[in-house]
Amino acid sequence: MNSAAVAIKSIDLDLSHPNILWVVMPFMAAGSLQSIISHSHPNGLTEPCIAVVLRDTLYALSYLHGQGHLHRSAITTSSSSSSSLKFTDVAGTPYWMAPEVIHSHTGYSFKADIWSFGITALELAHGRPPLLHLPPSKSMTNPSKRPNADKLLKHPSFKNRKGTDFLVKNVLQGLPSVEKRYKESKGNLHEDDDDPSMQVKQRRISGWNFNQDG
Amino acid sequence: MKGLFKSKPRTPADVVRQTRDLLLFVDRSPETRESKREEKQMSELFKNIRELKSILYGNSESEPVSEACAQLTQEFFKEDTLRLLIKCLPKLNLEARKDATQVVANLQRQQVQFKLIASDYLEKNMDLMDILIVGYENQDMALHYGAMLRECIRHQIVAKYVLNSPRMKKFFDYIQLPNFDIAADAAATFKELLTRHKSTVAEFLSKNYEWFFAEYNTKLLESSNYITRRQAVKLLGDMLLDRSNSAVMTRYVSSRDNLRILMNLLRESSKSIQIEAFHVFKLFAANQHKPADIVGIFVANKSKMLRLLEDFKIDKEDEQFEADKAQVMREIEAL
Repeated sequence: MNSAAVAIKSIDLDLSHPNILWVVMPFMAAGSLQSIISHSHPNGLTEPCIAVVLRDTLYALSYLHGQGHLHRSAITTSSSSSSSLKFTDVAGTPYWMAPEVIHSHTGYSFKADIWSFGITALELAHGRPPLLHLPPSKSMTNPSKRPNADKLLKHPSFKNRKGTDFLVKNVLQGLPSVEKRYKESKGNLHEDDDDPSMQVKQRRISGWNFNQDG
Repeated sequence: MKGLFKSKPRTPADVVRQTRDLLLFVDRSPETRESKREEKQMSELFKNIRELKSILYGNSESEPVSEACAQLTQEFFKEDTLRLLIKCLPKLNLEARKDATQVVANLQRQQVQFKLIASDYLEKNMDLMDILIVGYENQDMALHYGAMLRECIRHQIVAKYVLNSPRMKKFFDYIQLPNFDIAADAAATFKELLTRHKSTVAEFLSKNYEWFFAEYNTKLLESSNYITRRQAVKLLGDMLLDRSNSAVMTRYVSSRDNLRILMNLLRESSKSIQIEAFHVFKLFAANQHKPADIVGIFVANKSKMLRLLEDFKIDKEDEQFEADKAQVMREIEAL
């Protein structure tokens, strides 16, 4: 930890209500998958790549649900050059929130995360969130009709043994660094400004004068 | 005839009662668990706690049922189930501790006939909060007790008790514990205590101004730990900018020592700390009744302040920030 670059984020842990904990995580050098898609794959990823991302997301959801945590707006993943995927979230983003979360008077459960998972799958395929004016399938708005994460993992799409190496080769190879993508399209990234590789050297003001007679 | 012998399904109240009986058994057992009978009782307890959680949260097959939750809650607080659960937590395995923590968290929000009966129970059993607070000193218990505590202080009467407790001072140390997870949990509780119940916080800060902000400045804002400084200056801004705390804010920005600390934070190499420090610093500049010694510091550092602010840019477009900055610069120029 002393020499490795780290990202410092706040992440919601849901124990009936949001708590914010600071979490030190590995620095995801390649940046968020959303920024990668908008830069290099504006029309979405290929199906095999989508399958790798979604399978890893399902493993994360399966683990979290097993711990009794709801994620409520679980989407997409981040990636690093070291071939690992990390599970992240965009709290409160309406695009990814299940209907019963938006109408929260009825409460929600693990099925809310499955809704967000579905929206994420569409985004990976199309390169952007699905069009809001299209009415969602009636059966998907009913939480009880959605499968859970473990059931989804049994789907044939996730059976192939392609690993994250496959993803690195097909998505990250030749990708400009976060810094370059940041400069090319400001606003796409939401990196913490304490990211060491993005720290802009500032002209430092020399010491203040705190003498009473100053 | 076969139907006569079917066992009746347990009601939520039944699950609570059996859990309580098992907790009583565990509570009276010695630390060593050697007998098979005790192992069986422990295993049964874990199942019951899991069952309570399932009733309150639902599972992958079903949603929680309001009536079942209300029954569970009513039975739970009828007797000392919470005390037993907190006391016995160290004897449970990790999964059961997590389940128990989630049960306690959920119960703080359950209404029985539109009333939060957890609050009534806690009002009569405040010593349980002392146990939860001191839990930060026990590495195995800290995150569980911390999560429970944070849920309990959602009740105004509990928050008031904790704020005015002698143990409140301990949070300044808990926040900087070497174990990052525990320090972060304590910081979350500390923030909740100081921001949720506004009138209670305003009263607390006014009454305890001297020792509280002395500790806040030396232990947190001037901490050698980057995370501590950053969290502390952010929380300070949240407190002082809250309308309820305007009397405290006026007092804080009339202190030369406080200004010195904020000016030093403004010079940090971290942009995040600079931004948070600016939100507090602007209150000193905007104060229309600046004491003479504060005016003196502003005058003595006028050109440096203006240069720092001129160069101070944030990454995202923020009209409010630019407007605030312009206002602050005008105030300083006018001195």
